[in-house]
Amino acid sequence: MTDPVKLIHLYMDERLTPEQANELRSRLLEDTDFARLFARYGLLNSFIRNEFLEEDLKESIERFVVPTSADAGTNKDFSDTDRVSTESIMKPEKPDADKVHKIKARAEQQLHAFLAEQEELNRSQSSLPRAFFNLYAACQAWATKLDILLKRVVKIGVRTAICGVFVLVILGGIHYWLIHRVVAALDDSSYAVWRVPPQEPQLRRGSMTLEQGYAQLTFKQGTQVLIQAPCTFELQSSNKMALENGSMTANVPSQAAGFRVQTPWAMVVDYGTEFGLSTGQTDGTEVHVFEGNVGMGDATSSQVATEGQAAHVDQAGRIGLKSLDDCPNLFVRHMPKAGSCFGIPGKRLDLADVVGGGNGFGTGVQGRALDPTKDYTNVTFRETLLRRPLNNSGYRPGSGFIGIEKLPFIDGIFVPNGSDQPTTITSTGLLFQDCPDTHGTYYDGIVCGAVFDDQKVHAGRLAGHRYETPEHPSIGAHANVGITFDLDSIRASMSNCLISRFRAHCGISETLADIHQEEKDYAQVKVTFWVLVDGRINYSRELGTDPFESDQINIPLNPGDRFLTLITTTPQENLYCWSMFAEPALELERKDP
Amino acid sequence: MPLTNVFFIILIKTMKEFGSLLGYSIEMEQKKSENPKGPRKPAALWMQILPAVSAYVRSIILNYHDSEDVIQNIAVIFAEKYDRLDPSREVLPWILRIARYEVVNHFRSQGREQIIFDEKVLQRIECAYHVIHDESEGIKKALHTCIESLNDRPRHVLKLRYFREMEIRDISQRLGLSSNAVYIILCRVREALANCVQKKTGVLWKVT
Repeated sequence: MTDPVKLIHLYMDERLTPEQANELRSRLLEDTDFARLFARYGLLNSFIRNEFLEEDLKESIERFVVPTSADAGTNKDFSDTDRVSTESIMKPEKPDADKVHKIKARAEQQLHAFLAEQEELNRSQSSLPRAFFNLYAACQAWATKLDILLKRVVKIGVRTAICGVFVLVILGGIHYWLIHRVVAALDDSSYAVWRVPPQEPQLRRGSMTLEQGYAQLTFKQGTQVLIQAPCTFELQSSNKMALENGSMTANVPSQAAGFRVQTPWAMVVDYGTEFGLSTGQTDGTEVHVFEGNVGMGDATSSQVATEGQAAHVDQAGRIGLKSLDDCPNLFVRHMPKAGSCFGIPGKRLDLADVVGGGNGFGTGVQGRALDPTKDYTNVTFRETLLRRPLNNSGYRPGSGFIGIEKLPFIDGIFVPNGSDQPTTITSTGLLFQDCPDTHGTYYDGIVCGAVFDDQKVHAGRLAGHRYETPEHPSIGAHANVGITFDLDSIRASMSNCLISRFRAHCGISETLADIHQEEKDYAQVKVTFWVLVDGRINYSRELGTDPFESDQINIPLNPGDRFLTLITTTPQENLYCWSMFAEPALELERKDP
Repeated sequence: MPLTNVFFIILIKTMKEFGSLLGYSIEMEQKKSENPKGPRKPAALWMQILPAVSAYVRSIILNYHDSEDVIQNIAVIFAEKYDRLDPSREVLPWILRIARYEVVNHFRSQGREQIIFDEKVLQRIECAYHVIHDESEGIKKALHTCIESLNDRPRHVLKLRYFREMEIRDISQRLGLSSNAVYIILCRVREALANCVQKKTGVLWKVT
């Protein structure tokens, strides 16, 4: 075993024997410490060499630079040995001051090149770079610059793309959240039939169509909305919706003030109130304010409706205000209990409710009556009507056709009497040509809820069924009276709905027998029930009381039919003519778009 | 060609001297490049790794002229390939590997000269240079003062060997000594310098 340090020295001076060379190899392979020692001596050797090179260089520079400025003549004083030493560095030319300057200048050039990250070190072919312009080198430099520039551009491009993707993902997430967030909850519904039934009570943004019944929603900010079919609406945010067509009522708590409904005709803004809103595709927007204030308008004009006012925005954006007292109750304000109503939006419209000043879906008032006289207010209550004075003969003589402007679904009322001339039955002047002779008198007009009084007020009964609860409504039509409904008006209030037929159960109340059982003086009572469509008789039947007769009316209606007229007549004096239309209904069907 | 290497050293010197004129300092640049987050400038980086590369090459190719040529080639390759180097990778192992190829190529092109080390051994040596790279600056500084303190005669022998690049035989003829005596002087001087450096750097060069 040779001493490791000695082994290295021998190697450095190229004096290794083949055996020692083998030993050196194996030690380098096996002993990392030895390899490091080897490396350290390698560094030492290399640095020793550099030391002498630098030292010599310094000496040469000092010798040549200093005399150049002071005395160029001293150059000849250099000893031969020094000359040899410098020559070995600066061979083959004899160094002079110009040469040193040139070297410095070039070095400076090289420094620039280094700083510019150029590959100017590439001088493998020539020992020294030339001072003249090298086209090839310049091209190469430009190519390198271009390469670096392209790399940077690509790098920036990639970064921009990554940032772009990142931003897109975030924006996409926000967008997704905005689109898919829950804005309202479906609280309750009754008789509800949706075009696309919601899968869960949480409602997200989007359009919905209620085809039948009612639905109650609560928006995230607290507004409660009762939707009445048929209705197409869109949930837009937690405090905003759009009503394309249909009816709704909104109960807006103070924290949700600013609740907005966009309709085709106006933007309705609520300031913490309760209001009803209905809009159609052709007839503008109707707003009824039950409480508080509601603003409405478009970009050009706006108006505020206060409590008890009704506003109508027409197609041109004109806003008309009137009192709620002059309007029918168009809006269902509370969710009806299932099974407690007869009129179901989208399915069946209750004509008795219309007589009661309602919209056909339970907003009318029982006991309201229409008085076919020119002497008093026509829209009144039965009790009020009965207190009105009779004529000298003890009867109430009827007038001709009287239009009811206050209730848009009703065209007018009249007392039929064909003795002098045909009775006018519509505001357009249609005549009831076959009207029989009557006494031309009436008793209590047309009443929402058929009630009769002998000793006490009681509800009417047909075929053993008593009609006294909201789910079994009836129209009291004590002969001789007639009423004409404006089907076009009704249709306009329910876009996307067809009125397919009219149904009712008619007859004289069997309660007549309960009261006058012994006397049997009611046996002669006979009433003819008429149903006319646009002045044409579609149904007429005389029903008597001995035995009690009743009949089901079922008349198909076409989209072109405008007026539906119900008439009761009796040829005798109208004593005990307790005639009634029970469960009078317009059957509704969805209009296929 | 040793001349190119001389030029290179002149270049480095003048860069240091004139750099300040251009408002640029090599030391500053080196400090910057020591910061791993900062951009690596090729010139400063080359200055950092040059001691290890030249020591490596010089310790394998003992012929002075040949070793300088190979170092020049490596410098050129470094300048060419530096841009394509993955910035996350360490430079020294990479350049040492390039140096190994160049060294092996050199011996192959020489043909007649048999290399004493195979590639496996070369890899070990590379590894060793990489490991002790941190010490190189300290060794360099220490050596600078250690050489100053040498006596004239050993210093002269050292200069003849390392600067005049003379063979031991030629030195012995010039000084009128036996080649063995010259060899012993060289060994002792190197040993003295090694001891001096170890004292100054505080790192012991020990082999177990």
